[in-house]
Parts: sequence; structure tokens; C-alpha cells
Amino acid sequence: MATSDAVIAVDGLECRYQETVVLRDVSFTVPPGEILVVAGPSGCGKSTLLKNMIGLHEPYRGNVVYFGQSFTGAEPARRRDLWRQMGILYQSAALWSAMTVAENVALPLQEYTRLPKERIAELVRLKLAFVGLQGAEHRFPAELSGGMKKRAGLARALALDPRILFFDEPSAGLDPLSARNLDQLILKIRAAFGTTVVVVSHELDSIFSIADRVLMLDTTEKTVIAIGPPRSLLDRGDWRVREFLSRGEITGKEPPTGKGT
Amino acid sequence: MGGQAHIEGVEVESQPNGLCLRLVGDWTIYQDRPGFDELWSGPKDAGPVDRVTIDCCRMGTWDSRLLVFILQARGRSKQEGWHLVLSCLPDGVQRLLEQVPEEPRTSGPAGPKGSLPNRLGRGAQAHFQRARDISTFAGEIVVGVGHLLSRPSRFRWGDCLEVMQQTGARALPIVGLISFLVGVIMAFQAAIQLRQFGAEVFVANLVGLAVVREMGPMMAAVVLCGRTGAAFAAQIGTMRVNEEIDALKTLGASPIDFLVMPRMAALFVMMPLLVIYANFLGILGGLFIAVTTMDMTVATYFAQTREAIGLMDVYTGLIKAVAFGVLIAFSGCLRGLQCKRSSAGVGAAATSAVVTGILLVIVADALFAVIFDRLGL
Repeated sequence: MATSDAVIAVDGLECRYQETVVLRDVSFTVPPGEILVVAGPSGCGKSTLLKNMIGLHEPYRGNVVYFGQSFTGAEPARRRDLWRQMGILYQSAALWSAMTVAENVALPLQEYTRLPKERIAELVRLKLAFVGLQGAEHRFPAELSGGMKKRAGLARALALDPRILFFDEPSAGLDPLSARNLDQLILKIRAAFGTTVVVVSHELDSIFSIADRVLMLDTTEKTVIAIGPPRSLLDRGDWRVREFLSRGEITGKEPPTGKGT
Repeated sequence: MGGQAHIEGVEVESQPNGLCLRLVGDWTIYQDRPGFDELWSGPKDAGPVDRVTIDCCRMGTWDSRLLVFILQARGRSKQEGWHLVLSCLPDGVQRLLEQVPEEPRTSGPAGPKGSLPNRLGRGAQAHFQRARDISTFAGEIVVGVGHLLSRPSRFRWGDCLEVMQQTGARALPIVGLISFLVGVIMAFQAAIQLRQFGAEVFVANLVGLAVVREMGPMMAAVVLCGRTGAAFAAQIGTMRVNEEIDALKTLGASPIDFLVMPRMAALFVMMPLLVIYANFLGILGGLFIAVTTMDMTVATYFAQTREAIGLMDVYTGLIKAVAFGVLIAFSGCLRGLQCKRSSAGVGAAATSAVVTGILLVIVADALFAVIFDRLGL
């Protein structure tokens, strides 16, 4: 896909913490409506890549472009405009603990639209119903289970009908059933809204059930070692990718077809 | 409604036995679009209606705003028994409607319920529970002191020394400044009054006695309530939010022995030392005013002070200091352990620790005044 058609284009990204290089020369594009899963072993820089993409960290070098507009180093007004088009579900859901679930979901609408209170309340109810949290409007985050917090966080991320959704380890801390339900929800959102989705995950079940393409990062090389559909990477990819995707990383077994590059 | 009308984003057309609502333009959260109930003023205006058609063929871009409208229409149609026809509905909306089967309804906000006696009863019960929690905490501290005395080797001396440094040495500048200024203020006010009787020399007596018996311990206690009590509550509260205290409990370690006793012991030791320091700075504040505004010599001032203050006055101040230190640590740790599991809870715990600490210190000071009076001290 040409860079100009891409919803997201990451070009030559280098991320550092002080002098420590975490990622170098990361480049890829994401076309509209794709679900891209950023995968790799712990410490390979998945979350760092996400933080640089959403503007929580400034890259040391390189550029992140959304809809053909540069995000890295952009003016605050343009950043705000691009942030409006992004929804982000953080690993801990990051709900504001002093606010009820409804207030959490309503806040982006209050910040970015001029809708009257009643309209906002209707939209909040819709979002909560969409994620299966009807009736939880007046509960505080501390009163929710882990899965409910994630769903409330997703309702907040969906508040402005974003064109891009970012998920940081959505399955972390969830039981398999809740994790699968969340994966189904991601697929439904994409099908309904055509949203472009970037998921940071190392959950193999999630990778195979939702990913159109997988972007593999490597701890040693600190860059992208493979990108493509999960099945084709499993069949024909780099041995490290096959090892990871065939659970070799977890079991410690030899990769299925022997090592080799 | 009825006949033909054009409302922002909707063209309304009467049809045999019903109405057609033709959605035009963009239907997103950034446009001002009517709700279905708002659009529909009621069947009485519309005549007999069997069928409502929502036509999206000429609609532009859409998002959740459209979905809310359709869900409202669906709910109202079900209620009124109308046949709802959705024409040219985008695929995405169709899929979303499957995900949200009914019009979302809200639950009522949680709030106080019941009659006045019921609420009074609940309030009394809550107060009783709070009093019980405080008594339980005090009892646990007594047990903790027992553990400390019986097994001193297991006491967390390292933590205690660190807290002593934070609450003692690092509090010296602020305690010193405030005590000095209080001494200055008292001497200045006393000088104005005593000058009328030619008794300015007694400023030293007044400042010395007031500082050593009352103001030194009180000023040090107020500063430590704000500085240390709040810090204890925030530290322990954050540990509670992060489930660190749960982890301690499940390890079989007592949070009282682990967290509360080192803090309690640190303030038990540091508070009298801080009060001695505060007393000294308070007297120096008085001296500064006496020397600069009343032509009194340093030697005269100290001689007057020595004459006014007995050893028992110093002891009473130090006894209060120990009690205040224990109360400040008590309130800070109690509020930290009672902290709700949220960031707002940590803030509330810190505030509550300061308020409770100051209240306890003042109540204790009043009790000491009565006790010392009865004992003739």
C-alpha cells in the first residue's frame, strides 16, 4: 500500500530512554480498516512503540503520520485534532477513579463536542450498551471487575467514534472468556465502523483471532523483524517469529521446522 | 407533527397510514441533530399512524449519533405499536443494532434512600462503625507495642531511622522558622501591652513560659500534622491502592508491625527533640524583638527567661510532645489504612489525616491543661 493511502505511516522511528535505544529504524504503514497486532517477547518495545505513536513519548528520530498529516512534532491544535480521531484503551483501562463510569465516557464528548447534556447521556448509554455495561453508569471504577473496567475503558475510547483505535495489552489480567469477548468486540467495532485498529499484545489466541497482520519486534535487534498475516508468518516467516507464534517461546521447544534465517 | 416539514437533518413527509422521516446531510456527533422523541410531538398531532419509515438513502456520513436516533425510533415504535421500516440503512448500523438489541436504559443513581429515622439509624450505625474501627486500630497498636518490646530484633529499625530522618531532620527548617516567628509575634504583642505599665522586662517571662508550656509543642505538632501526618496517610493509602497491603497480609506480615510501628516509634522519639528545638527558636524570636525594640540586653533577657521557666514547665511541654507525636502518627496511619482504593481516596485520606491530627492534638492539649492544673504542675 502506498504511504499516501495509509491511515498510519511510521517512518524510521527511533525510540530512546535517555541513552538507551529501545527501538530503531521502525517503519510500517497501516491501511484503512486493518487490524494490526504489534507482537513480540516482553521487553521488545511494544508499549514504547505505542506510546510514541500516540504522542505520550516523543521519538528520538523518525516520524508518525496519520491520514497524511505529520503527528510527530505537530502543532498542539493539529495534535488535538488527530487525538480526537484516536481512541485508546490502556492496559489498566486508566479510568478516572473519582468519576462514575458514565462520567468517564461522557468526558471526551464534553471536551470535543457541543452536544447538550441529554444527547451526551444518550450517547453514553449507547456506548455502554455496546460494550455490555448497561446499568453500570453510576458505578465507580473501584466497584468494577477487571473485565468490566476494560469494557468501560473501551466505551470511553469509542466515545468520539474514532477512526483509529489503539489497544495496549487488552487481554492482560482477563480470564480467557473475557479476553475472547473483548476480541469479538474489537472485530465487531471494525466491521461496523471500519475503524483501523492497532493492538499491542503477546496473547497468541488474540493474535490469531483478530489480526489481519502481525508486526513482530525483536528484543535483540530492537526493530521490526517481520510483518504479515499471522498464518503466513507461521508457515514461512523468520524462525524467531515461527518460534514465538508456535508457542516455542513459552514451551522452550525447538521451532517446528528447525532454525534458520 | 404532520403534513410536510423540514427540520435540521430530517425531511418529514406524510404517507398513507404513516410518516416518512428522510435523513439528510451528515449525522454525526458534531452536528446539531434532533432526537426522535423531540421530533415526534405525539400521535395526537400526527393522526392515525401505523407505519414509520426512516429513509437513510440521502444521508451523508454517520456515526453513533444516527444509531441513537434509530434506537429511540425502535423503542418508541415498539411502545406505540407502529411498524418501523428502515430504508437504505448503512451496513455498519445494521451490525451495531445487532450488538445493541434494546434501547439502552440507564439505572438510577445510587443515593441515600429511606425515611428520616432510617437514615438517622444508618448514620448512627456508620458513626458507631467508625468509632469501632478507631478502637480496633488503637488495640492493634497496643499489640504492636507488645511485639516491639518482646521481639525488638524483628522491629524494622531501618524503616524507623528513615522515617526519623524525614520527619525530624528534614522538618527542622520549617519548624524553626514558624517557632521563631511565633516568638517574634508574641514578644511584639506583649511588649505593646506591658509598656503601658513599664513592665517590658516581663516580655521574656511571658514568651519563655508560653513557648515552653504551650506554643512550642503546639506549633511543632501543627507543622508535623500537615507535613508528616499527610505524608503517612498518602504513603500507606497508595500502598493500599496498589494492593501492597493485601500482599503483606497474605504473606502473614502485620501491616501494623510493618508500617505503623516504625512511624509511631519515629515520631515518639523525634517529636520531643523537635519541641526542644522549637522552644529554643521561639525564645530566640522573643529575644530578637526585646533586643531590637526594647533596649534589653541579651543577658537580661536570658536571666528573666531562666527565672520564669522551671524544669517542670519544660517537662510538661515534653510530655505533651510525646503524646502529640503518637497522635499524629496514629491519625496518619489510621487514615492511610482506611483509604479507599482510588487516587481520589488517597487525597481524601491525606486531608482527613491532617484534620483528624489537628483535632486530636487540640483535644489532647485541653485535657493536659486540666490534668496539669489538677496536679499542680
